[in-house]
Amino acid sequence: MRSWKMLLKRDIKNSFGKKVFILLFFLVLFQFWFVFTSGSVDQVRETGEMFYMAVVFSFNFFGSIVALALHYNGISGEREAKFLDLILTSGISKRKAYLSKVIACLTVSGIFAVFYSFAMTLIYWALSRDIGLSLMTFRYTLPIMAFLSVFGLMGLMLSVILRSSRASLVACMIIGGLLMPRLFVMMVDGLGNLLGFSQQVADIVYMISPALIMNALNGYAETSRLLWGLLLLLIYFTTILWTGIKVFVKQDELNYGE
Amino acid sequence: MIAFIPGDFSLSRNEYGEGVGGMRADLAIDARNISKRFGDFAALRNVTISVPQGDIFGFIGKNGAGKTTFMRIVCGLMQPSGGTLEVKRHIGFLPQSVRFRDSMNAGEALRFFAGLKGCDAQENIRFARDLEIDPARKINSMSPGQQRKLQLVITTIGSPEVLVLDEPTAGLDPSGVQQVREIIKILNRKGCAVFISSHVLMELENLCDTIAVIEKGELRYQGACGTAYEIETGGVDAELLDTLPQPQREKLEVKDTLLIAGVERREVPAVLQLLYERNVKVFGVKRQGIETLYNRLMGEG
Repeated sequence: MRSWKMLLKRDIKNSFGKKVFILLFFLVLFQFWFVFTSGSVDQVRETGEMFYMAVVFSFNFFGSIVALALHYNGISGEREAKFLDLILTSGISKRKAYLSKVIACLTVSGIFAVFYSFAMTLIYWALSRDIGLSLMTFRYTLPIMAFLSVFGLMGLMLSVILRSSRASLVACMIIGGLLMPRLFVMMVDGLGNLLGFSQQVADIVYMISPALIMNALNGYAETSRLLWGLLLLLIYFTTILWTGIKVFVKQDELNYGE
Repeated sequence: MIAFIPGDFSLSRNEYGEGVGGMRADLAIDARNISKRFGDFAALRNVTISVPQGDIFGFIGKNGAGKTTFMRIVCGLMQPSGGTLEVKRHIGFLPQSVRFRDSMNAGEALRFFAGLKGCDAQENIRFARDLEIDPARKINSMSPGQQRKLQLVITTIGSPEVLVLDEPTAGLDPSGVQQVREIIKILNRKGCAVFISSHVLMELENLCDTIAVIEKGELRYQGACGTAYEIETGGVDAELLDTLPQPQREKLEVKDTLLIAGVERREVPAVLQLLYERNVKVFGVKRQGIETLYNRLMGEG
């Protein structure tokens, strides 16, 4: 257990590279631009509701790619550097190595979400000087964490399955693009027309896009949507985790980087 | 039937048993009929290798012959498709060209891996200092030779009973090669079995007690580094050999002025005596090197 904690500590430390802060800064900046130009502060004041776009507009476009970019080479990078060989021959099982990455991913997602929410609070406070209104941005901290975790774990899983960081990056970009809410809603609508989805069914299918799960978890949505969101989140987590670990444990560690 | 595969992919050496039916105490690695297939491609075919405890064992083959695959199977990083494998409990593995992605210094890296193995790093830090590795120096700023030496020290953490080294001197300068060779000898003197692959045949000749040659996934040879002696003569008539009694005649072969004697070391004086009795001038005797052996095996292939 002590040896695993050592690995976990290293994985968490490594996950907090410059990359995290650069991407965080970029998302905050993009959101600031949106809040500043769209009059979000006035809308929030009028409605008394910290609506989705007012906090996570930037995630609609770049959130998935940011989360995937943080973890796309979680395992493959270590394989290519042959560092994983040293770890696995030091008494650490593959399960433990993977779980350590998973926890590091969840930790980064959590801290990223807190930092982002804090930055949003500062932006709203700077623009409104209303502390109550500003603190409402923290309603999105957990949904953001869930969103980043789903994509982060997906990146980790792809890095295992595809073995190569390059292939994983390409796959992450494609999946991140496909699950972008605007595009995904359009795809579901098209499919819905073809298959005759009712609006109720379509609303649930939309939530396959994690950004729309995030919208359902902000506390303003009706209970049924919230429950569907939680259920889909659970399905996402279990499927991604199970697949990642199963594949990783069964894979041969080839002579990567040759 | 796979009787014992290290770790069921948990690779947790600490959880290993001593092998099915109990492993022979004098062997560090006992691999029997190991096969590995990647789809239709057979990377290894019934490879049987026994590495005695305390031996330095050289593993030779062309690129793609199956050396690394076999080593990875021994270390539990790959599952064989068939065969039985028994390996000593504590094993250290040095893969080819490890890159450190972390911004660790040498001391931190040693403490990290010692922590993973549940050992104290102090002894290894001292060992690193002996090898002129500064524990406070960032690994990324070290020369490839220094990094390789550090990796070698990392593999020795926890006093492994077997060291598996995949081309440990690749990319090193001559002094780095010498130092790595010395480290291997030091570890071997401590009783550690060393299983080493290299393309530098001279290096293996200087280091190894036993070698194995693998070609296209098949073991071509396992035994002493040199199995024959080259006797430089003033000229030997092939007809002269026919006058020799049959057991000796079979073991001798004439190549120009060289007489190749495929005999044990203890039989060499008897061969020389035979030549002396037949007035053949002898100018020198030397054991055939790995290179000759290797070329002969590859030629046969």
